Amino acid sequence: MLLATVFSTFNACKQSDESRKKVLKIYNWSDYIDEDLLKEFPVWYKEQTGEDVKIVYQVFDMPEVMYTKIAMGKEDFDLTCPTQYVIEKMLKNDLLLPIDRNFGKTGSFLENISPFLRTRMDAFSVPGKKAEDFMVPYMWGTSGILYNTNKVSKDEVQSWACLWDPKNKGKILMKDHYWDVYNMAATYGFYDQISSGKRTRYTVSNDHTDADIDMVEKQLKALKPNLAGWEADFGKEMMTKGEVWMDYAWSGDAVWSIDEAKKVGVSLAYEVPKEGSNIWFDGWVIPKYARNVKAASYFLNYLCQAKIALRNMNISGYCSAVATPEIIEAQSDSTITETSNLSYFFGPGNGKLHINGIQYPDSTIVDRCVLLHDFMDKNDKVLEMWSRVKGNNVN
Amino acid sequence: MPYALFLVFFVLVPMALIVFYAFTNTDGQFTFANIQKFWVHPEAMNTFIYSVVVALITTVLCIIIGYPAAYILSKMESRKAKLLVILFILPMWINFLIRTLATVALFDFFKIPLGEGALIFGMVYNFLPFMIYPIYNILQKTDQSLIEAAQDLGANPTQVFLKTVFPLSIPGIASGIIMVFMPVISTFAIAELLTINNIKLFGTTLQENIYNGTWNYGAALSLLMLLLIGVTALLNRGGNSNAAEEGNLI
Amino acid sequence: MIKRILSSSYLGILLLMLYAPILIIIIFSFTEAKVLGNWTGFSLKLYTSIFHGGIHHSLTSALWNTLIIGLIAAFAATVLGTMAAIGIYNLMPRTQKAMQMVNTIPILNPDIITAISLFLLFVSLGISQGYTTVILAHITFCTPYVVLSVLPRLRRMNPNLYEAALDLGATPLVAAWRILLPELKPGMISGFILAFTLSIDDFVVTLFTIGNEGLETLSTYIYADARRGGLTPELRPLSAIIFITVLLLLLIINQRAAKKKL
Repeated sequence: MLLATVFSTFNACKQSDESRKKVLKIYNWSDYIDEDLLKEFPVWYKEQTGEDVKIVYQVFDMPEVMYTKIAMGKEDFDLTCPTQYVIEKMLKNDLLLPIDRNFGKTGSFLENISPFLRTRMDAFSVPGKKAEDFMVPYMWGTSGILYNTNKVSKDEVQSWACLWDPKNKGKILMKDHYWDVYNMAATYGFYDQISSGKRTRYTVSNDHTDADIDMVEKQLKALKPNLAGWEADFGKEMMTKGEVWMDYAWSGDAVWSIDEAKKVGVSLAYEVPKEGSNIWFDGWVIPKYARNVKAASYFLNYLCQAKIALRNMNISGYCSAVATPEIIEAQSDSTITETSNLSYFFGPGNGKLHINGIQYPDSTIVDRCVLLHDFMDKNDKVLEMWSRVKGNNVN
Repeated sequence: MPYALFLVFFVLVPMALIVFYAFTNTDGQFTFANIQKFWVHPEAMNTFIYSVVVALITTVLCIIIGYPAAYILSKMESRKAKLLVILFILPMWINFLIRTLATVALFDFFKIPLGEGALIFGMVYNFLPFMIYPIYNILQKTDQSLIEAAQDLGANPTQVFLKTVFPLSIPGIASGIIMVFMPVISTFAIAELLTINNIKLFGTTLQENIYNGTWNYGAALSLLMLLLIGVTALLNRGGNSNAAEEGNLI
Repeated sequence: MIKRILSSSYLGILLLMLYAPILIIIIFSFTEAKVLGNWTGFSLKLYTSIFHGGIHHSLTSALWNTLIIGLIAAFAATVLGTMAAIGIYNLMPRTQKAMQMVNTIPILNPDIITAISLFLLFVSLGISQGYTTVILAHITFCTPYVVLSVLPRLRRMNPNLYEAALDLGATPLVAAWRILLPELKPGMISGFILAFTLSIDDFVVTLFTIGNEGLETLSTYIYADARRGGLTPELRPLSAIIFITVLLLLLIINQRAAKKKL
């Protein structure tokens, strides 16, 4: 009976509908946004709409936890920021609400997002639901090899083959993340078919046929003895300490690692090998159980302004999806001697920008990267393959 | 008993939910497929056995290292002993993740490669206090008069220990084993960090399954683990009460 | 004599090994490097930046929450556990065994299973999650440990003392208060400490029961950061401070106790 009283008093304290409409619950990765913005947004929102809003901010460590909480726990977050294949899964499983683009006098900043990403986003549309209506890309990047320039030459890392090279045995880390690894192994394994034109990089990584899965398994099993181990988040740290020479990394992490390593005298660099890799992006979505869609949509609009995007880029170290001239100006660095062709991202006329080539990959790099889809019904099979590869400690 | 109610609610009901998940597939239909999957897939089985072995080694090491420590502590002056016992527990208050990372840094410092040895070290390091504590508690409460009686009857110190003190302390060891054995099997972070994910413990398997959405399989796995626990617990219980009785008869 | 030296050194070596990683944390709290193990020169900057978190994702609020949750959960667990231990002690042997087995389930269960099952429980009951659910969850997995601490004490206790008090005219409540509790106190204290330790370190169970109001404990804060940008460097000075503080407190308490005895 004691418990019953506890629960009933507790439920009575639950927020009333009225006050909940004034709250915006945001669920995000850690260190992925300038938190001062969370204080400034309510002010902006009041100016634009005359309404009050209070932000409740929560962080998650893994998108899987986020997915579980929303799918099974029906948590009423208004906004969350998953990676694109999780967005795909959520869209397919009817877990997202469309973004309300009616911004009244404010106007929409959503068009600031680079058309490059907006077109690629369409690949995730399902019948009846256009992807662009449900997500706003936030940060994006490539995946590639982070390597120690003193131990491994730039030439070597032009091909994924360097990971399988026995001379690097025990000095390589691979991500404990089956999406990216699948893409890498498939692209590498089928490269002869790709270069002869028989298959495209896109189908190689996204078809998920049984034959593809087998090839991936074969490649990974050959790779495994060469690895020091599989890391989930501490790879960058081991690289900065010089304990391993190569690590599969995302571009944003690579930028972080290179900086940190410089401070201790270790020289790192990042390359996307010639066989190809993937482009990933994180995007903001409004989950199904959200209660404040209006504020959520306005928040997304807010984030797409150039100066806001720049602030977030600086805090997180990642590369924003926003592509306006202000960004070009802010991010251009005349001390960088090489130029990169970024017309695909910023629009025509940006063929020779002096800009950080890791954050903003040259068009030749982007041409060999694909967007990865969720494994959908092949998920179980891939997971089984993955656990066969990771092994049973006996071999 | 209010506790019984509490337990029923907070322990049995969630467990029932787990059972439910274990026996259903993604569409909610009743099936034995999940249990079959376990038997059919050697890796899960192998991981499980390996984890059990690691847990056994860790537990034994904890007993071997911990018992003497607890014994020495129990013989010391009460105030000093209490202080030292708290000192043994204190590291536990530093967050688990940072402690494990510091252990990694330690290994780096001494240039010892990570791997199985590091794993065992990390496990023992983490769980040793859990073994020392109950043993110390029991030893400390051992009725002095029993020991004196044994001495009066002419036993030398070794005999006193083997025949009197040790058997009386077995419940403490049992508690220690409970607090060490199963948790070792289910801890995943230590294996992940101290072996760079090369060695996979059953806890990691479970975690992967839950995180990657294959809940049903994960639930089935944990049920199997519980069965194992149940069996060991039953055996333990049986042995426990016998030892206690013997202790009282002296 | 030799025995004394041997035993002291045995303990000493053990303690040294136990504290070696802690020493590393403390040493590296004096450098700014983001990675534990890199040394970028002596600096006290981390010590000052601990308190600079924003309102939303802040180390200090996480720490505060952890302490509060830990204390409340440990306290409740101790009370509940002691009551339970007494209850179990008085049961018939068969029920006793059953109760003990159920009691042991939370200890033996992998924490992720406990976490998920509690999560599902709260979801299906429609209870919105937050402080209360976390505390309830912590109580769930802490209480068995308290029971395990107190029960042996009960067994060792001379049952005649309680009977004697009753015979002498004390009501059961007074008898319990005056006789049982002092006997059980060491067990209760060790149970409390154990429960508190477990609660502050817990991660998975907390993760699945914190709901969506932005509640964070130290563990969830740390793990969230670890995935993104490596382990928060400010943790090192924080841990060092916590550690030294508790150590000093202990020594002071100990000194006081010594003076009392004299």
